[in-house]
Amino acid sequence: MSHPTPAATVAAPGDRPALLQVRDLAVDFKVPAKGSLRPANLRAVAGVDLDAYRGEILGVVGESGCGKSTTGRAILQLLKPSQGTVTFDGVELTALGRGRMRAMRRRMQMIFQDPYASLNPRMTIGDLIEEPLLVHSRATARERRAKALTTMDLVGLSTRWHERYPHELSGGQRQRVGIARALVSDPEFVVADEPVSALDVSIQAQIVNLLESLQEELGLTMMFIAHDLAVVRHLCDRIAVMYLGTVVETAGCEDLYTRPRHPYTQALLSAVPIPDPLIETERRRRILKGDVPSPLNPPTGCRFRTRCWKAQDICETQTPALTSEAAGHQVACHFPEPPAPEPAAPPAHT
Amino acid sequence: MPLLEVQDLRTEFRAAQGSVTAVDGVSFSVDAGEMVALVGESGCGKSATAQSIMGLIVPPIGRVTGGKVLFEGRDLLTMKPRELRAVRGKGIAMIFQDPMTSLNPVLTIGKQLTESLRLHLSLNGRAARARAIELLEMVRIPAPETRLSSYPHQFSGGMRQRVMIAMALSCRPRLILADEITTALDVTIQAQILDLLRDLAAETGTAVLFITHDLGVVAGMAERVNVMYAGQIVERATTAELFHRPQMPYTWGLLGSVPRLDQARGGKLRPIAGQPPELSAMPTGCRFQPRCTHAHDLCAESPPALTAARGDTGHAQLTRCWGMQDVPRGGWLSLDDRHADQPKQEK
Ligand SMILES: Nc1ncnc2c1ncn2[C@@H]1O[C@H](COP(=O)(O)OP(=O)(O)OP(=O)(O)O)[C@@H](O)[C@H]1O
Ligand SMILES: Nc1ncnc2c1ncn2[C@@H]1O[C@H](COP(=O)(O)OP(=O)(O)OP(=O)(O)O)[C@@H](O)[C@H]1O
Ligand code: SF4
Ligand SMILES: [Mg+2]
Ligand SMILES: [Mg+2]
Repeated sequence: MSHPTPAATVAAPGDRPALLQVRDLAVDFKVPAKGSLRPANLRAVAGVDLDAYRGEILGVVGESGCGKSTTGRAILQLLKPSQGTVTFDGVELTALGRGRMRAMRRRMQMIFQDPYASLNPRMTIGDLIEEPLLVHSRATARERRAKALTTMDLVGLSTRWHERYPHELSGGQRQRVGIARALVSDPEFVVADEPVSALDVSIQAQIVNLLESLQEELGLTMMFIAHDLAVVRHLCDRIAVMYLGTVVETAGCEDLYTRPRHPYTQALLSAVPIPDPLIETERRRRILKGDVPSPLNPPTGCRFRTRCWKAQDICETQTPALTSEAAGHQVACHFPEPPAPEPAAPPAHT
Repeated sequence: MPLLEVQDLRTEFRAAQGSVTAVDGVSFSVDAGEMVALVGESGCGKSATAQSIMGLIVPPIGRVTGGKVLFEGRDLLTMKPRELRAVRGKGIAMIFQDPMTSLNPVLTIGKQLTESLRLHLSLNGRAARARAIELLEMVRIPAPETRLSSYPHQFSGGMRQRVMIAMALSCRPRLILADEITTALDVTIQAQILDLLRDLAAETGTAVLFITHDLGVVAGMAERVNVMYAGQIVERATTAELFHRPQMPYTWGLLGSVPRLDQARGGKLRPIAGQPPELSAMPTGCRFQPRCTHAHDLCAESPPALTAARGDTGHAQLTRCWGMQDVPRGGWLSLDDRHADQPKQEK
């Protein structure tokens, strides 16, 4: 890799520097409370730690409502965190004023799930793609147009769509517009929030391949939020698994999929259907009981304990911290699966 | 005699420019106690097919313009409304993707369950309540007695879908049409619901037409599969055949588009280029031809029928592809072409 190696950062896979560091991040929402005039506090993100290393795709998975989008938005400072820090390329975003944050914003962009809702129907495709440049650069109209056209080309949108409107496009093409809008200002870091979830499988594969090649070509660092675990495995270098506002496990992709250590990760993986009837009929599923509890009233101790088959008394009284025994594999559980018996494991950092 | 036999079904919708044909000559059957899948991408006509079977497509929105829907040998399309209501209550039940559309938000779960039981099974108040509790227990809802007085919004998405399964089973139907019932749910909840439906259908001997866009889900549920594309069935096979020896290039494309957890990582996905055709602008030949990497001239000229592949004896598998058929100028494809990087081209 051509990136400079910094003096001393956290133990990074392949010794790459962490471009993004999230520590103890929390986000609260005020929601109307039943039978009370005072709003209740909903802690959607409750103390999240994450690192994204330069040039990698970090997958964030977890079920609906676990706080993936909120985490992504708080990282980009589109939502104000109520606790914790977000550091990007050495700059603590959470401590920046508006003006300096604006300058940083060009370097960090977002791709949204619903390509239609996020595009102004009255703007042409060309204008939509140029729009971020109006905010982030002093380019002339001519330069902006040229940049929009090259970006359209980059994401595989025919430039003849330039003067057309979003409603004339298919879902997959709209998502390409969303990707072009995120990339037109040459960001280093992109949060892609469920960018393929709304698409049909055949179109989904087109967009996954596009994101993959764009990441390689542009050396992007990406946070890829999704609930499809097979797509995440295909695309990502490292994965963070979230449950009810917290990260319960982080590991390198293969590590996580071959040896999940948190019971929730195990259940999640066993629930993914595999398109092969022989495997499906032989397979023994770990079916979780019950539903995800409300974030308004999360369980004490380990938040997963109400659905966990391993839960003991300690799980109710003590919150397990995200700790790492094997290098790079972190898990927040009192009774995690033992780490992989890796003969070649590097010595743990102290 | 199959329990359900759909023959050459045609359904049209009113559109801006005249009408469009959303279901175009669909035929398939479901035997008693069998689970059959209907799989395909958004807009291919899965819901329209199910709604046509249920008699839910009525003017001015749309119309069933042809075909037969034989349920236990009787054609639902020519039945009088009264007979039809009886069949719909007791013979066939439908579960939708979004349970909120079929649950009444201002009535308690208990009220809705007991109403349906009293109406269709003529149970009295007390018997209906007892049966409702039994049903909630059967779909594994904890504390069913107290839950009877809850409103739909007090239930999670997964619990609402359980209630819908309970309602569907309440009148002991012989067939359930399940239309994308887990699409809105998370994977761990999806696993719970599929497990439940599979168990209950087997226990009660209820046949299920299982509609989904997810091939992974099909593999674990159905005995036979119908793949739909652009309003038509393009491949039909047992589940084992469909996944282990698929014959239609569209099915190859679908299987190549999804990464699999059980296979080694790496390598690009093989998406299908382009997108499905508009209903108002169907290709004249094979409907998949504009996206197909294996197409020959014949494919653009005339539409292939759903037939057995060349030399494919001993299987009930059918496919709608010229490349697989034993006709002049046809039959250039074999199962191995599925993985061919460079499709062969005539000329
Ligand atoms: N603006 C808001 N006001 C109040 N509560 C909110 C708001 N946005 C999110 N929440 C709540 O915060 C929690 C986390 O939501 P978030 O959207 O981050 O989840 P997610 O993991 O992205 O889910 P999904 O997979 O459904 O997109 C949920 O309980 C949600 O209801
Ligand atoms: N009420 C309607 N009026 C006009 N066209 C309709 C109507 N309902 C459906 N269609 C069209 O009929 C076709 C088939 O729709 P259908 O809902 O059956 O698709 P589907 O396979 O169920 O898709 P999905 O996976 O998105 O549910 C689509 O092209 C759709 O646009
Ligand atoms: S008939 Fe032709 S175009 Fe259609 S699937 Fe077969 S090879 Fe492809
Ligand atoms: Mg989200
Ligand atoms: Mg549908």
